[in-house]
Amino acid sequence: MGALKDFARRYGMIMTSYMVVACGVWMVGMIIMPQLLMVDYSLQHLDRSEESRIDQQIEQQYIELQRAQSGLRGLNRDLEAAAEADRPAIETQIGEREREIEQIEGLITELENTFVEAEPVYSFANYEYLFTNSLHRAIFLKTIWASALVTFIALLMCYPIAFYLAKVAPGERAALLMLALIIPYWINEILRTFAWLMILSYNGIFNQAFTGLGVIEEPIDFLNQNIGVVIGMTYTYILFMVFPIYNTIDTLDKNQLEAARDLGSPWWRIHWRIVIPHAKPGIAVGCIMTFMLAAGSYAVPQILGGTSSLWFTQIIYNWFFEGGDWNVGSAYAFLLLAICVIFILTMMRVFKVGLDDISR
Amino acid sequence: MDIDIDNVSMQFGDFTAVKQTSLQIPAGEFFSFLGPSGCGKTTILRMVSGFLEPTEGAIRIGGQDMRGIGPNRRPTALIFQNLALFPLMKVWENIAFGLEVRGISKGERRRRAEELIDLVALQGQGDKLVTELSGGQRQRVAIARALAVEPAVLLLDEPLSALDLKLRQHMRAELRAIQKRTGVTFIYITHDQGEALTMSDRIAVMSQGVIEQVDSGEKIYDEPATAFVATFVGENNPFYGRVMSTDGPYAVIDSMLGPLRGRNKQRLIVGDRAILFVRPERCRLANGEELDNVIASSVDRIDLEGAFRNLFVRGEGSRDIVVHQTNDGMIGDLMPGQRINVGFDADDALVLQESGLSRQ
Ligand SMILES: Nc1ncnc2c1ncn2[C@@H]1O[C@H](COP(=O)(O)OP(=O)(O)OP(=O)(O)O)[C@@H](O)[C@H]1O
Ligand SMILES: [Mg+2]
Repeated sequence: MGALKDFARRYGMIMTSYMVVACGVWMVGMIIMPQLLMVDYSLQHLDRSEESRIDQQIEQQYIELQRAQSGLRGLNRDLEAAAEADRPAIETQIGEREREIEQIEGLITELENTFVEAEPVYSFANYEYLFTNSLHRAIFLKTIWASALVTFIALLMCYPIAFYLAKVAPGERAALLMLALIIPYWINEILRTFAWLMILSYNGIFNQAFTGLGVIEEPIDFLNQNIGVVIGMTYTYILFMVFPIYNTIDTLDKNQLEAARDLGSPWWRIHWRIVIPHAKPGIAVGCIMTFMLAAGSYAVPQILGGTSSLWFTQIIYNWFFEGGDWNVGSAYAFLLLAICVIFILTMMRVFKVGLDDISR
Repeated sequence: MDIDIDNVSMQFGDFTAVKQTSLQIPAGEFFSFLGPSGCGKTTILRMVSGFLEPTEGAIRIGGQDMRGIGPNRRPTALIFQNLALFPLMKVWENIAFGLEVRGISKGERRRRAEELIDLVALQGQGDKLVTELSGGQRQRVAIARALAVEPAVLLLDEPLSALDLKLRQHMRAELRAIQKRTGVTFIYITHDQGEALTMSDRIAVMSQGVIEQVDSGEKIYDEPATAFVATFVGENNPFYGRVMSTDGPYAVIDSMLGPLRGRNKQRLIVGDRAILFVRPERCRLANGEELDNVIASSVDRIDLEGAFRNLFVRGEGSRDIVVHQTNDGMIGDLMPGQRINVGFDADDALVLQESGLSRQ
């Protein structure tokens, strides 16, 4: 409240109330409502048993209809072949059949026109579905560990880069390197990912070069073994790891490094005891961002994942736009969000950083 | 261990920060570098500690040439201008860092840290974070941290500059006491002459990368070797002119206030541009006394400081001459504008060559 009063004093009442209302609208309309809506969706389970019972009946009637129609065709043939005297009997039979067919057709239209509204029932059934469907469960788990792997690889790659940029490279070279890091990101993510597709595909640049050189005998199927996705994602999200770490290391007083060295410390201990503890908030932020982006990525697995390596986001997409069940889709999306939140909390615990450190 | 700085130069591109400097510092000495900002003090210290390799000359510690030996393998410990304590570590961990590097067990580290905490009078502060300490306490942590590795030479780069006056005076005494107790060679950098004069066995006065004089504090003050030292250390009244005549150990210059006589330490010859320096406390009011130099002047301003007063008098067309009078109860009343004669003995004045010293 104090902060608000302060703000009011500085910018006046009108400005303050506008800010409060705008923030409120933003919070409620753009963040809270859609999320609540999604949670609500995810908890509604559509009971489709009535619908499928009718479907079955319709199918049944179609079978009846076919049977009746083929009977009618037989009778018509009989009629042509029959003697004059037998005809009236057959004709009555034909009449009966035609009535029967009419009846069935009427029934079918009636059934087809009975529109059963699948009654949504509040339950956790949508969530349970993920755990009963072994394929989806496997993909879910794979998405988590593969995202963690991407995060880990990105961390291993980015920490030295960030340290070099912040503390080793002389000003001019640091600026150049920074530019070299950023320029690829001016290109659209999809195009960047396609570049990797050209490199990694079965007949791609990598395989051709290395089979050509005789380093490998058989081309490697990167795309169907998730390797392509991991490589592509690491590359795509590297900046999100470099910059938070760079920013924190940049604030480290160079004299501390020299002091540690002067006290006899070898370089690895300087990193272990001085740089990494100082860079912790940056590392945590980098890991969180990379993990979230990787876990929620759609384009990269879509392009670099083969047919046998699906990403969980693709499953969610399918629920929404192909399976036509927004409720299960919402439940899946919510589970992914929950995992990400758990990851954030774990990272904060592991790195012993608070929210204030992260938002710094 | 003795330190031998042998004809050392340090160049940064075209700029020479230290010019062909030679200096020997015997073991156990408290040695100070005194000089204005940017004169190359830190550069010398960084060369001794191993963070810079001299572009020319050699640095020997204990007779061993230090070229190619990194700061982590030299028997020196540096206390940085900004202390460079490790803010994420507790006080005792800071102090024990050098021991940790040397693979000493935690229990032993803690024990040794406590000893040093006693030495620098920080009892009971071991488990605090360094950020929770006052400036003077941090200072002492830095000293303890450097002493922990049992260096033969302790290098201190203006460690007291961030402290307030009172604390600075207290720390001076403390530093001196610690040096006496440990017997470690201290090389101390400062631009504060009071600090240098009170603590040091010997002082090197530097200007623009050159050592102007190396001597004890008394010698530096009483017998400045160059005009720079005379102006930089303590107050001095300068009188500009040319050498008119010399007789034995004395020379006479033709100042604007007439001929003035002083000691000719540098054996200047007639015609040399020279400055005659006389300390304010060596000037007196010439009340019929026999003085070698007497200047007719008028009182400009009187600053009473309590124990003494500073008389600013002005001769014919000259700038202020400062006369420092001890308040011994017999100095009498003076009024601004009053005409008086001030004077000094030739033995109390020094005629030094005016070289590279801009006329102020
Ligand atoms: N790495 C460097 N590259 C270029 N010039 C430098 C470098 N380090 C120091 N200098 C220059 O050398 C000169 C001496 O610097 P130094 O740091 O030794 O001064 P100092 O006497 O310690 O001054 P202060 O009392 O302000 O700390 C300065 O003019 C400085 O600009
Ligand atoms: Mg300095």
